[in-house]
Amino acid sequence: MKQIVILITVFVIVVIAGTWELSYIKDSSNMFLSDISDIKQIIERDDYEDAQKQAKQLKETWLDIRKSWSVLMDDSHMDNIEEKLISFVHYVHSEEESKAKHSAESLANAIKQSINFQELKPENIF
Amino acid sequence: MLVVFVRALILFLVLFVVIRLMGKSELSQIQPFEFIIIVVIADLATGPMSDRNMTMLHGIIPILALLFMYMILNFLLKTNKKIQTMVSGNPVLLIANGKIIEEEMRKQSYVIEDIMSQIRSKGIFKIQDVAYAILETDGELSVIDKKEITGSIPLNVINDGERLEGNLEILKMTDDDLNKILKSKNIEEQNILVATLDENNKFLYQKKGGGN
Repeated sequence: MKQIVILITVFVIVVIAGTWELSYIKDSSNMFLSDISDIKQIIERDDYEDAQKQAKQLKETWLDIRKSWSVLMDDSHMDNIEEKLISFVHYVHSEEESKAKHSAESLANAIKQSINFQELKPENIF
Repeated sequence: MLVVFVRALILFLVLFVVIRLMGKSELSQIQPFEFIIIVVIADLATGPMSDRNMTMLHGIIPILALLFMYMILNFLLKTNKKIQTMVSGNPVLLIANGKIIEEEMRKQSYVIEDIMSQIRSKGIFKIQDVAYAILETDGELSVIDKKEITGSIPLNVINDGERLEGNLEILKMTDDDLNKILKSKNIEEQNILVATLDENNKFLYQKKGGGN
């Protein structure tokens, strides 16, 4: 009986922790994706001064997110996101609209892929 | 986290089924080659369990391939004496009449302390009290206490129609001696399921198909 209780407790803890982990990653990434989308709109308005300020802010937000994601996610995914973020910030600073928009897309895709990789789906299991 | 958890559960089930199919209930029963297979299988399972970049099938398929090879090898071991000897070796006499057979001990990479610890685990504290100690093919040391021996110890000399040369050597007998015994009993070696012989030439056998 004691063993069954321990077994169920461990199972419940793993399921709750796993669900929390996924929702935390999704929430923080949605916030990040929305910031990227905002910067894209600012670039479209040609307000590079504000875009650069927001891009700097985005980099700082990423550094905060990275701290918590490093416990939950594989390093290679975060390195990929960071690489794309650096090139996005670079194009925003150099005021290259098309390249900045393109790198914003690829940054958003890298984040979505990383989140997708964490979801409990048959293709992730097998 | 949940993906890793589910992958670990699935791989555990695969390992459980594979080990059951290997049919081993006790670790002490395993042969050295089986031990290697089990270690490799365990190593193959840990890869996809912890590395999300590895697909699970890349772990499961080699495990199943090893199981397949193990089953073929096991079948060959049961049906072919030469392969059995090549893979598992023969039992080796390490102590006879209270004396260590030094040459065999060195061949098996044993040291005195290995033998001492194994005989102590059987409740014997002096080598002189050991009548025979036989190193079995699974690494287990069978120890026979002198007190338990009233006569000489019988050993299998024929198993399933195949002559066990190693045991004949232990009994200090030659092929000719066994041939003479077989001739006197008027029986062909290949018709014997199991036959034992001791140093006093006491020959007991069971024919294939249940006859004595």
